[in-house]
Amino acid sequence: MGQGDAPMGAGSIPDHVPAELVHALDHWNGAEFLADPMGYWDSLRNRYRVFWSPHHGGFWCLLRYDDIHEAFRRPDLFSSHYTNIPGREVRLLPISLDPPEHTKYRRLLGRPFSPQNIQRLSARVEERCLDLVHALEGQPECDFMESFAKALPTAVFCELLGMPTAELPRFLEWNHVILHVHGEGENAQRQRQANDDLASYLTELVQRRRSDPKDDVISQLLTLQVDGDRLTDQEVLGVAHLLFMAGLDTVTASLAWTWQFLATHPEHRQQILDDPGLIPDAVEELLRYQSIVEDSRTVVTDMAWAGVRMRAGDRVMLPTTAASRDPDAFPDPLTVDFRREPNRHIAFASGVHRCLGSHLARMEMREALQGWHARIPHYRLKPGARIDYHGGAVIGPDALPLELGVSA
Amino acid sequence: MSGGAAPRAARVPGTPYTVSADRDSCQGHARCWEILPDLFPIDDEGYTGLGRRTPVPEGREEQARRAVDSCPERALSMNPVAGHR
Repeated sequence: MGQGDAPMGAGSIPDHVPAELVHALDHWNGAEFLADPMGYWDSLRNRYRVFWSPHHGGFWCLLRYDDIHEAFRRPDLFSSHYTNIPGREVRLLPISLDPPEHTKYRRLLGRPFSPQNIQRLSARVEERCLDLVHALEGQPECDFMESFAKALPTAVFCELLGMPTAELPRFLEWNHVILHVHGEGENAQRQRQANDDLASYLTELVQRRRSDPKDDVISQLLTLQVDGDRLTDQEVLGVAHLLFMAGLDTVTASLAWTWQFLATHPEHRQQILDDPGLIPDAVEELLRYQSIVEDSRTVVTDMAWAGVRMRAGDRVMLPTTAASRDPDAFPDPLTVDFRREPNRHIAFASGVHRCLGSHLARMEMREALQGWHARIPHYRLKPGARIDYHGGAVIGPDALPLELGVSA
Repeated sequence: MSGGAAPRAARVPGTPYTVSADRDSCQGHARCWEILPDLFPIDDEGYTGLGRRTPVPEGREEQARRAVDSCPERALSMNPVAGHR
């Protein structure tokens, strides 16, 4: 791990940061980090309780489950005004809100995304899985990202918005351009266009559902009322946009990590094949083993946390990846045990910003594991394939080439 | 307040237990509901409907313990009924 010195181009170190805690992590572009993101978090946690990186404007990074878990539960100390490092200009609501403004939103959004409501969607999600798996049965190989990991959450998004499956290709294209293309030069123009097109489409959809409600999430959001609070059309549009930005590449990444693990660990895959009833527990353990979201906050007031002095305005990263493999929280954390108990992982964070989509994400993962393995029980990584990862707020593979019908 | 590494004390067979929820801490993870929905109900928004000191049905103690331990917010507790040890 040779990134202990602040390289040229990174910011200077504030005077309240101890020199021995400086570690120049660039979670977007750091080569050593991207070569093995999970392993890199483990080695950081072995070395530090907390460190400061001078990249991207400078930020603290917590590493232990207890420190991260508690930070999530203290919005009074750690504001969500910006939740990315570097801070994005566009603020997604209600992710970027603190209580009490945040509270009203969560109460309104809770019902469409409740476990019971999500369960009602599961039959349709099962069908979408089957569509995707049928297309792959008999194929010798596939890129899991293109054939499944991107397609399933996009299809589910269409279901949530009550859109026919004929709209799927349009949304897959937007998914690709907005979420998976690096936005420089010509690509930046493509992204702006795609964002505009998506915004127009969603605006028009919200208006259609306002005048002609259906049994979908948008219609539910438009008619919900809690203590006299309702969402405006603009707010519903914001939520639809949030669903797109926050609910697609997260599920995509989790599916990819899961299949990468199962492709390279046939004995774990066999456990699922032998007992599909294990799938819900397997989903929890794999979410723990490969948590993907590196969420961030801004310090509200000068204070001590995790043994260091933090100043108001300091950015702080709360990597769920590091928390979920903390040996003080999870004995033998690098062992994947589908029967691990207890498993209080915070892959979906803790506190008031606990991922609204957590029940939906779990349902998608379960249906995916069930539907895929019933028809494609054996697969492996394409021999010689090198897996590249992207970093940032959601870490995951760029591509996942699989050979189908053969075991590792 | 670790992630559950400390083992719980062994349950005494035949002891009645109750479970309680700290509603202010509940954030709607619904792990408890997944394990034992009858004992750990949730409302329409996915938050706990469990009150204070709800009796654990006989024979459900292990599942109740699992559900209590599953809460990432540590919002649940399980205690022997007073007078029993």
